[in-house]
Amino acid sequence: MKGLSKIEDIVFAEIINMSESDLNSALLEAGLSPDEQTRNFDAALAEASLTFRKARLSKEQLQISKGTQESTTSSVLRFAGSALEQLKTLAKKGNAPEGITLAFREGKSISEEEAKQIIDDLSELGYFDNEK
Amino acid sequence: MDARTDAKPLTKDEFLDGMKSLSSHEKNKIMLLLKVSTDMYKLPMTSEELLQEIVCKVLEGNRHIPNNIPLILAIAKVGKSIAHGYSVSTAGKLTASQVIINDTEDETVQLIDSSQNVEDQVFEQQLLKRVVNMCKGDEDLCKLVLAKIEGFSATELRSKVFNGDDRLYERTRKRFQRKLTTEMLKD
Repeated sequence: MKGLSKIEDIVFAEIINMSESDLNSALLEAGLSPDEQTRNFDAALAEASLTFRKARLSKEQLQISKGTQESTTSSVLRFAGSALEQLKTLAKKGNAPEGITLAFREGKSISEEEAKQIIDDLSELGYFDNEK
Repeated sequence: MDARTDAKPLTKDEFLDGMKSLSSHEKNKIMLLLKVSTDMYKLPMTSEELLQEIVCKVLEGNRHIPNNIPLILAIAKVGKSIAHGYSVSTAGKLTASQVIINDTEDETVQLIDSSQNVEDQVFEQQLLKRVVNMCKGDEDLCKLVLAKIEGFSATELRSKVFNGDDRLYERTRKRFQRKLTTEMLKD
């Protein structure tokens, strides 16, 4: 005995299987420009990505200013001292990526700002998840 | 092996890369698919706004896009879910929905899978009414849609519903697609 197919699945499948010429004809018939629809999609995607990045930055800035432990850059707050000191400590413990450890060994200079960026990136990648 | 159990969510980067690499045609399909949801749930929201919601929620980790179905379909499903969430956030909406579903004089009720939750049934019914109205007066189109709802495959549609008349089947199928798109593009 067949089960009922959802009309939603049928409608979605029909739209997904439409040829470009058929869809464009339908759009033009409805007074819509296919190129404009594409531009609207791109604009919506770009706007959403930007909104997300701005919201994340605002949240982090707020958390840092409040001094909470939940920041995604919490690694900076967890440890005393500058970001550069923390990075050096990580490298000494052998917990930093090889490139960072090598940079310190070779005497390459890393600015405090660069160190903060690196700490943020490592935090995103979960390097501090097991740190106490 | 059930493909669903093997599905993993796309990472945020995979999702964004996937979205950026869609063709214009695929992007336009998504816009139309999202319009279906905003229309069915009667939301005062454009396809663009729903798309922004989808992208934000995926990037925030509140929604996930599985890697085992086409991205376009996944976006449509997530869009429907988000639109559904907005539509049932009003108090009393569920009661009104149940009244519609329980109206046994409504011919479309018989064509809806009652094992779905009520909100999904409402979406189905709204969409079905629109499709049924669109097909009225076109006997071949009605046959095609009803058979599709009953789960007939393309082969069965050709052989059993259209008695082996491939040309009639193809003409009807194309007509369904065109009428459906035109219907869904209406304001």
